[in-house]
Amino acid sequence: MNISIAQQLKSSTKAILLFVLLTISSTISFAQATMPAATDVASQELGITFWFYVLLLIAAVFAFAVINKTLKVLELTQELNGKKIKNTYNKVNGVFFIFFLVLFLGYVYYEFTTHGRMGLPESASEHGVITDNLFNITALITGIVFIITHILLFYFSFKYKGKEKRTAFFYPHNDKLELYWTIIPAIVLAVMVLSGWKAWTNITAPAPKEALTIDVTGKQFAWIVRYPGNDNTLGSRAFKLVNDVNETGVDFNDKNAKDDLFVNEIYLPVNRPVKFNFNARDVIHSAYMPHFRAQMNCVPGMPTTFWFRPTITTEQMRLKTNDPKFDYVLLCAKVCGSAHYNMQVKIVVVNDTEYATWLATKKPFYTEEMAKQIQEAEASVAKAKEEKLALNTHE
Amino acid sequence: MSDHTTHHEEHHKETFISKYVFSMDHKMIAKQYLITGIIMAVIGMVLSILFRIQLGWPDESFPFLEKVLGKWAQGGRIDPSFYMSMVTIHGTIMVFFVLTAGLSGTFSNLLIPLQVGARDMASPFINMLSYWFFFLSSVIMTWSLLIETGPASGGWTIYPPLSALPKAMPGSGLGMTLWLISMAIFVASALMGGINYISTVLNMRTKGMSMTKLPLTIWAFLLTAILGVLSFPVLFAGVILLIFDRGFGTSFYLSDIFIGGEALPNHGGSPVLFQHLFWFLGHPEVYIIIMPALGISSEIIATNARKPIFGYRAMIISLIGIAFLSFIVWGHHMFITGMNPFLGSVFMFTTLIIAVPSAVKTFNYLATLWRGNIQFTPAMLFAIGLVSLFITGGLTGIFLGNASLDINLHDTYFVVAHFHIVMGSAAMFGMFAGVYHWYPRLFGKMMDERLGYFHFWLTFIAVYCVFFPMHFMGLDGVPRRYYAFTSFDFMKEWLAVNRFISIAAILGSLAQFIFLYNFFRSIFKGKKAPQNPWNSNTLEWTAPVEHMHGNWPGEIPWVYRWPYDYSKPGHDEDFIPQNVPLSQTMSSNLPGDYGTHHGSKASH
Repeated sequence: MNISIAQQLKSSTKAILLFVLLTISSTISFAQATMPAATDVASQELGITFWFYVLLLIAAVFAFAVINKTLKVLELTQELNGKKIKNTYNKVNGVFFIFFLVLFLGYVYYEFTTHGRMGLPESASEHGVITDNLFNITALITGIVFIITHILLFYFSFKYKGKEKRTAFFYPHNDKLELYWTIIPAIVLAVMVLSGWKAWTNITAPAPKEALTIDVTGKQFAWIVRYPGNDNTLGSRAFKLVNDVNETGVDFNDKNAKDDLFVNEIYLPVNRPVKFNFNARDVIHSAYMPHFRAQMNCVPGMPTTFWFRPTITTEQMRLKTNDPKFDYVLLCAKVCGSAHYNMQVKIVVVNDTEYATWLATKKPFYTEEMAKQIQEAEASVAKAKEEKLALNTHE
Repeated sequence: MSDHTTHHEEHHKETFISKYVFSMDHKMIAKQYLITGIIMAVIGMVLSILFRIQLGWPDESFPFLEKVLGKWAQGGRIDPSFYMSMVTIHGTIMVFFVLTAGLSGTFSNLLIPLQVGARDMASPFINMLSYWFFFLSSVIMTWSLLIETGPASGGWTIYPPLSALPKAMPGSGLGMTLWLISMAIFVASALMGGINYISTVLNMRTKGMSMTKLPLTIWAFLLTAILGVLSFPVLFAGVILLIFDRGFGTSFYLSDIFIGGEALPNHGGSPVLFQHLFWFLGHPEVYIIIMPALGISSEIIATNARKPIFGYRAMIISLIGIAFLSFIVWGHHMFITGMNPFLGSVFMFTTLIIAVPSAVKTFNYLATLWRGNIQFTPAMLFAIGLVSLFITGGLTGIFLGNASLDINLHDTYFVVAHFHIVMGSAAMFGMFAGVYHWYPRLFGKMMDERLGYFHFWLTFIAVYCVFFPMHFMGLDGVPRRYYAFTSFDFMKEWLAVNRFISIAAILGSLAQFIFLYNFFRSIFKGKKAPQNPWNSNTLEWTAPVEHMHGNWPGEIPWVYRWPYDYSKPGHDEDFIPQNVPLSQTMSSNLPGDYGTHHGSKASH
């Protein structure tokens, strides 16, 4: 910050500074250097690298001990010369806050430009564009506050580092100033609440009537997806009817259920609202579709719902991301058991004609054969129940 | 009263057991809390390193893991169930055992009697029981790591039905039972501690110590204790109901469940009810964690900047504001559980309001540093680090508190980054700051400052390297509590970042050994502490360095002024302890010193 710093610093101070700087730069560069290695995942040389790290650790501890001892000697000589080590350390730490500030801001910049670019992919739903906007505005405001407060914090730490002759300024309060920094954040937050509230009410408003309704049920560790078929109306369901064959308990006496069909991939027609009915069969799951900015918990015994309008087809997204293998995905975001990390179903967004073609290839679930199987399953469940009751009465 | 205590003390024979084990002395109990907390923190840290290894190198096997973990890491690869267990126990230990009991238990016990001017806690016996309940619950929680089916594994939030059904995952069997028993005992411990803290602060302040002369640490501990006493019973109720559901066939949280090829008879319960009960504690809990850290840092920043804390009253009002609001924001953990969207709007509103008192506190810290004469003790460094982390993590809370943004961020790594920075690391920094600052008071020895500097800088850098990149992973939709990021194409690009995080975490945790070495070595080999090493104003530094029952040999000092008379113009030293009467400092007295504080008038 000013030229005299270098002159002011004694050799011991320089030594400390150099060491701390080296530690930091090596910590970061060491960690960064290992990053390219992540691409060749199936590295066979792990045995070597592990021992390499252990050796490195031992070397680091040794170096640390040596430097610590050296510093101790320097401290003692300083004290012999009648200097207060306290003031030297005040200076070193103060100066170091300025170095840290620069490094920190550089690091934050690096994070935002490299990792920031990897985050928040383009929104593929209508409401996602609005919330992304809101996100960016919030990021801008908080970003400004973040940078300013950090500059002040670390600069003050440097500027007002303890010195023999300095006297602190007795300044217990300033009511006006405090009022300002209460009211200004309050106003800014009020604006954010209002815009967030508006977006939230729109997103959670009831789905349009013409929406395609899909039933998604979570179980350990898969998603069961039911489409309404040609009548665009899902048949009703009841927990009592759930068994190994009729996995979600669809009531096939309901005429709407007759043409319902189960699929392994979710196909969505672009630009048409789609309403998801979520259920869970065993534990809580959470249906998360990051590209559509959509998420809703699936709770056993409590149906939930979420609707949105997809705006970009899978094909278009593949072109945009320049990734021919890109696919939308619905994944589980609420811890649900050991295989929680792999509970997914692919989502494909297509245009209307492709959607119609796809739907035409799907056959309704309920056939005569199925009816028989369901009856059998129900009978065996009933029998098991009776046996249990019989056991109870014997006891 | 004081005569009686000193008299009693002379005749009281102390055995090893009554002095070091079943001690009723608040200072000894503080040490017991601290050391138990440190041990638990090391366990939590080791667990975090183990699962960071898994996340950084998901496709590789580490033979040494099999040696350490046995059947949980067959072939050197961590088992998915055990991964979930480690995440769960890491969270539980860090949140409850380290940052609630370890932080609040240590410093409330040490500082409340010493800073308000009391001989001991209101009820030393209940205080001792509080520690031993905590110890018992720590033992049970640690023991659960060793059982056949593995410890609880449904996340530290233990949402049913996952935690209620042993069929759902192995950890929901005996491991979960032990977790619940441990937590029930822990709640009892927290309540006994909290009642004691509250009654001591309200009833046992020394002469002249009005509420507006209390150090901010005490305000923070008092409000923390009130939060705990009001919210922990709700968790207790939730835990008891869960025990009923698990053992006695009730249906508080269970309904319509088909698992393992069988339909369960439970009907009419609601899993969301548990979440309401849990977060009614869970949200105040995060303030139970951070408020003592904020109190500690207020005290340390004022002392070491050699300046009064800026806006003392505003600091108290914001603490009260945070404490009150923390009870009506729990729903922001549940925006996407399917609860009524209007309720979501209400919780969004209250949640974002809580940012205002937090902002006031931050600005007041900055104003306190401004034109100070900053003494960089390790405690001060950690306090400044706390402010930085509080800002960073607090700001990301504004994203998560906004319900429409939370849809996309909920249960992703953005949340992990947010709470690890704002309540995990910041509170941990508060704890470190407290240990470095009050070590002379705890052990009568000084810690090595040089090692403290190394510890701070390495930890501070590591924290940012570990948690900052996680924000962006969360933005990309990477969910938390994933055993590996290998099953989804879009997550694979984060493997390199995960490896970077893991390395930073390992290096950061190695830096903690500097602290451990310094801490335990200084107990025996540290320099003997002077009575008031930091030239501080508060009462604890007027007590003798050697611990004694009753804290002060003679009369308890009286208090004449607030605790922040640092660098007061007209006084020859840059501090005036609270027990110095105004009549001795005529040259520096200000008109307000006489009028506003009732206590000082009375004592003249």
